[in-house]
Parts: sequence; C-alpha cells; structure tokens
Amino acid sequence: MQRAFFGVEGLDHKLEKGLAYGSQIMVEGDSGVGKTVLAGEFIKEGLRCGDTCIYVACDEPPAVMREHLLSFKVGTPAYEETGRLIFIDAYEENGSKEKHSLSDHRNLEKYFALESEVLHRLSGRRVRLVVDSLSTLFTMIDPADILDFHRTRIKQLRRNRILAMDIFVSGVLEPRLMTITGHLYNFILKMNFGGARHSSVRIMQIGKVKSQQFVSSRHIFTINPVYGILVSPDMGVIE
Amino acid sequence: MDKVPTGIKGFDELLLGGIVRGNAVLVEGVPGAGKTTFGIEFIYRGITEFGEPGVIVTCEQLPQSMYRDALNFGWDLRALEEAGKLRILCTSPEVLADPEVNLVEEVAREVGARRILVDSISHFRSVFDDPLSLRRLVYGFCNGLRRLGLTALLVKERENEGNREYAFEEYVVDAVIRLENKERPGLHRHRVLEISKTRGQEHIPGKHTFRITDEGIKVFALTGTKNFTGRAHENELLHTGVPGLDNLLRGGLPRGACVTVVGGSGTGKTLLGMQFLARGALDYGEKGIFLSLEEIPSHIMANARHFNWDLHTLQEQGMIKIIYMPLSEMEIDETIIGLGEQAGTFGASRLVIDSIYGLLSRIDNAAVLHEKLYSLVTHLNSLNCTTLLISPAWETAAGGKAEVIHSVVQGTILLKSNMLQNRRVRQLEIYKMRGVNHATGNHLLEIGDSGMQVFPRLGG
Repeated sequence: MQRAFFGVEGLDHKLEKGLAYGSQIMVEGDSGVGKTVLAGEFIKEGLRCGDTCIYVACDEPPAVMREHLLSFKVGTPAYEETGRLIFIDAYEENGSKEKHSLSDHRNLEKYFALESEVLHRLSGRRVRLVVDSLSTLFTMIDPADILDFHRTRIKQLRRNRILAMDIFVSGVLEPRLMTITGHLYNFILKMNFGGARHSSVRIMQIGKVKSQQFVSSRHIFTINPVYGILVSPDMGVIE
Repeated sequence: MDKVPTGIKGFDELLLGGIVRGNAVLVEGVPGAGKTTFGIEFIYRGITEFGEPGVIVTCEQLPQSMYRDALNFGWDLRALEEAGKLRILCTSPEVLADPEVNLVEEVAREVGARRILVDSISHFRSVFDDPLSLRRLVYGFCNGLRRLGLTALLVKERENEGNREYAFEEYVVDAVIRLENKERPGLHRHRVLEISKTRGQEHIPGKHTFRITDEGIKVFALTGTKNFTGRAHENELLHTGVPGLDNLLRGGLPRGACVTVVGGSGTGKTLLGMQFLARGALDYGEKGIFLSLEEIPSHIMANARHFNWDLHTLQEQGMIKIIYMPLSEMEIDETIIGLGEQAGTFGASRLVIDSIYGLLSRIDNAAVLHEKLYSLVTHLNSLNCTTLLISPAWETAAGGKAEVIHSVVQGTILLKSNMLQNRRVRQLEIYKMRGVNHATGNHLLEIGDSGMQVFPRLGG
C-alpha cells in the first residue's frame, strides 16, 4: 500500500509507517510559526512522489505559495501546465485571475461544491490537498454549520482517498469546536511558539495518530532558508 | 348503434362518435352563443364530409344573409344548393305548424336529406298561446322529422343566463345541447358547451369550452384520464440540468412528473425553466417545449443568450419549441389540449409552462380549477412528459388556488430570496416530490454566467 510522508525529515522519522492516502491531517498552530512552510514541504514531497497537489489559498494569494515553492527550488509552471499542481484562490473574493476561485466566502456549501468539482476531475489520481487555512474560511460561519461541513467533507475525502492537510490558526475557533473537529481527523500536528520568555523557540508536537502508536513528545524545529523545516531530534528538554 | 358524426371538431368525442341517427337534438342558448353556426356546420359537414344532403329551415333569417355568414367560414352554401345537396327553406312558423302543408317533407325528399336544421323552434310559440297545444305541435313536428329519417338540430333561444328552467321542448327531444357565452374574471367572455341529455346513448358530461374559429366551431373536450395508459418508464429519472439540484433529488426528477416551481419575483423561476430545457437539449439530447403566456419569444431568447444558451439555433435544430400564447387569447381547455398535441407530435419529453398563474387567473372556482389542472397533469403524464409549471409565490396567488395546484402535481420546488448577514441570498427548497426521498430544507442557490447552480446544504 502506498504511504505518504510530509517531506520533513525529523517529522517523517516519527511516522515510520507514514500516512495512508485517504488520511486527514489537522495542523493547528500559532500565527507565523511555519504552518505554510510545512504546507510547502508537504506539496513539494507530493510533487516529488508523483501526486497531484491542490493548494487552497485562503490567507494569501496563490502567488505567495508559488514564490515560496520557487524559493525552495520548486518551479510551479510546469506542474501547473500538466495539471499536477492546482491552486484554488479562496483569498480574492472578486476579480481573481486564477482558474479556480471561490467567489463567496460566506457559504461553505459553495466551497464544498468547488472542492468537489476539482477533486471529481482528478478521480483515479493520487491526490494531496492542502487548505491554508481552513479556520479563515470559518470565521463568518455558524459553529453548527462548520460541524456539518466537516462531517460531510471528511467523509467524502476519506471515500475518495484524498490525502488532506487542513491548517487551523490557533485562537480563531472556539476550543470546544476545535476539540470536536479534531475527532474527525486521523492525524493532528500542533505547531506553537514556546520556550523561555527571553528565547522563544518553535515547537511541534504530534497530537494524534489514529490506529497507530506514537510518541507525543515535543520537538524544537527551525526554518532554514535552504532546507526548509528542520526538526531537532532532542526530546523532553523544553519546559 | 348508427351514429351520425357532426363533423364539428372535438364535439363528436363528447358523444363518443356522434348523434344517434334519426334523433332530434335541441340546441339552446342565449343570443350570440353560436347556435346557428353550430347548426349550419352540422349541415355543411354532413354534405361535404359524410355525403349526407341537408335542409336548413329558417324562420327569420334570409338565405342571402345565411350564405354570406357561412362564407366567412369558407362554407359555400349556395354552391351546395346548386349542386342539389342542400335546401334552405325560409318560411313562417305557421306554415311549419300546418299539418296540411308538408313543405319540409317535400324539400327533404327533393334533395334526399339526411340532416335538418330548424332555426328556430322558438317561433312556434307565436303560433299557439296555450302550453298544451304548443307541446303537441313540437312533439308532432319532431315525430314528422323522425318519420322522414332525418337527424335534426332544433335551435331554441334562451332569454337569460340565469337559473335553468326545464322547458317542455327538453322533454320532447332526444338530446339537449346548451351553448353559453359567459362572462368570466377579467375582461373576457368564454363560450361553454354542455350536453345535458342524450336519450339512449352515452356522453361525456360537464361543461366544455369551445371557440368559433375561421373554420367553424372547435370544442375543447377534456377527456381527462381516458387515454391515460400509465407511465412508460416507471422509475426513470430525468436530469434537471441544474448543477446540484439532481443531488437533492437523488438523481433527478421522475420522468413524466408535473412539478410546480414556486417563487417570488426575481427568484429565478423562468431561468430554471429555460435551463431545464436548454441543458436537456444540449446535454441529454431531449426535446422540450416552452409555453410562454407572458413573455414574447424574442425576449426569452435574448435572456437565454446571457447564459450562452442559443435557443434560436436549438429551435432551428428541432430540439426546442417556444410557443407564445398571449394571456388575452388563451383558453384553458384549448391550451391543455393543444399543448398535449404539440408535446406528442414534437416528441417533447420536457415541458415548461410560464406561468401557471395565467391559467389560474381565468378560473374563479376551485373545483373547476382542480378539474382542469387534473386533466392537464394526467394528460401530460400520459405522454411521459416531465413538466415544470412556473408559479408565482404562494402569498400572491389568489386564495385557495395554490393549494389546489400543489395537491394535484407530483412535486413542488420553492425558490426563495432571503436576507442573511446583510446579503440577499437565493435559496431552493424541495417542498414535495412524490415518491422521491429528496433532501429537505433550504439550499443555497446562485445564478451565475452559466445559469443556475444549487449548493446542497452540508450535513444532510
């Protein structure tokens, strides 16, 4: 069975068996901690493995991710032309020049229809999908509708064996909603700032791996302009 | 049973073939109801279509005026007279009543008549004052016609449209046909025909509308479920052509169903109808008819072009037919029958009537509306045609009528426009869909460049 990895060495090392296609990853983290960089690594890894990657840009225009990937020596035009890399613009509400764009951010139904349509066209392919960040899409939506959306969407992603990474910015949604939402995902990764007051560090922690043993230890990580995310192998030294 | 077809369009269906040969039929009605035209057409068709010579007896109209009036319908009575197939007898009631004078018999034998029109027997009242003698006279006259083997239409004038009083003539004759020219809601009148008696033969009861056309009388006989043979494809679904809507319907609309699309102004009802036809033709190769009672075809086509549907080309390709029937000229029975005929000959599997309000506004009686609508729905269902009946919002539809519609049709789709978070949002709800486990509640509806799209509510 095909297994997928994040493309982040220290993190993948913790997941010896990798992730099955059809898994849903929840990445929850502080603003600026490196969630989008992780998303870039995830896409880069996908492209390297032959997956078709979809990036839904909610917080910044798709062009920012294109530039980000280019800075890690991943040129996107060739992938986009061959349909291996698809950007969905969920940032510009009006006048987006992207092929796929979300015209109205107030209805999750419309997002769901757009995502379903794009995924439908890719049926039969190995797909990884990143939504950066899903919590932004939820800011105007009633909590009950958010849960309905999650249930329907995750069921569909699982059925279609889509490897999905949903990014959530800490503090946007109510803790109760985050807890309920977390139940629906196979894999939860938390990314936060921590450490002593005078020397803040980036920390990641695996919060949940469904049906698999895992060590929920905290790891310091850094973002290297050349190598991307580097995870420290040290464990248990951060308090 | 030997029946005489009248040849009047639609009328013989009501008598299941025609009048029993040798019967005397009373045709009664108020002035302007069309009695004389009815009678003349009976004689004219008899001669020209069934080879049965005839006699017209008139007590007040001169033959010249009768020739002239008949020519308006293309019936050349003078030519028929010259050919020895017709005699027009202009005489007084006294002569007709005189048992010593066998004028009718002579004339009938002369041309070998099989049919006779007497216009009118009301004049017999001028011969006798007392009811008993009058009754004897009419009875004797009718018997005389029977002896001659003539199938007779006897015209009788009614003085008012009020409560029906049974005159003795109705007991004497074998059949009674009543013609009316009634006022109805709005500025229009309509002609109604009813067979109230047929001795010794069956007929389709009830009131039926008719029209006097350039070619004569046309009766619109709604025979209801008589031809209903059941759905050819019981469980087959038909794609609506509206993205997302089929998901709510678990695949599509049942084939052969009548569905009302109800909504306020600007909710997208007509667009839904157009998309149903255009996408049906383009994506599924299914023919469709758009019956417009309000908008002219050029407007409909112009609106469709905004969504890149070239209805003009589709019409030329024989995939779509746009029929415009102005409300002012629309007769409900005629519309129902005509539409059924068109759908059958065109081979349409999709039909849109925009709007059903046009039909509604003509009928002020809920029971009649129910009957008419039932006829329409069963007729279209029998053709296996899936129909969208565009309807205004319930609040604006006249009281009680909307409920009648919704009880007759197989399904109802509601289109709404609501304010949500300070934005006006269109929504769609499937209110009723008989036999379909459809999604319930409101679902987001949007109108974009390529038409309408429904976004099924998440979470089921």
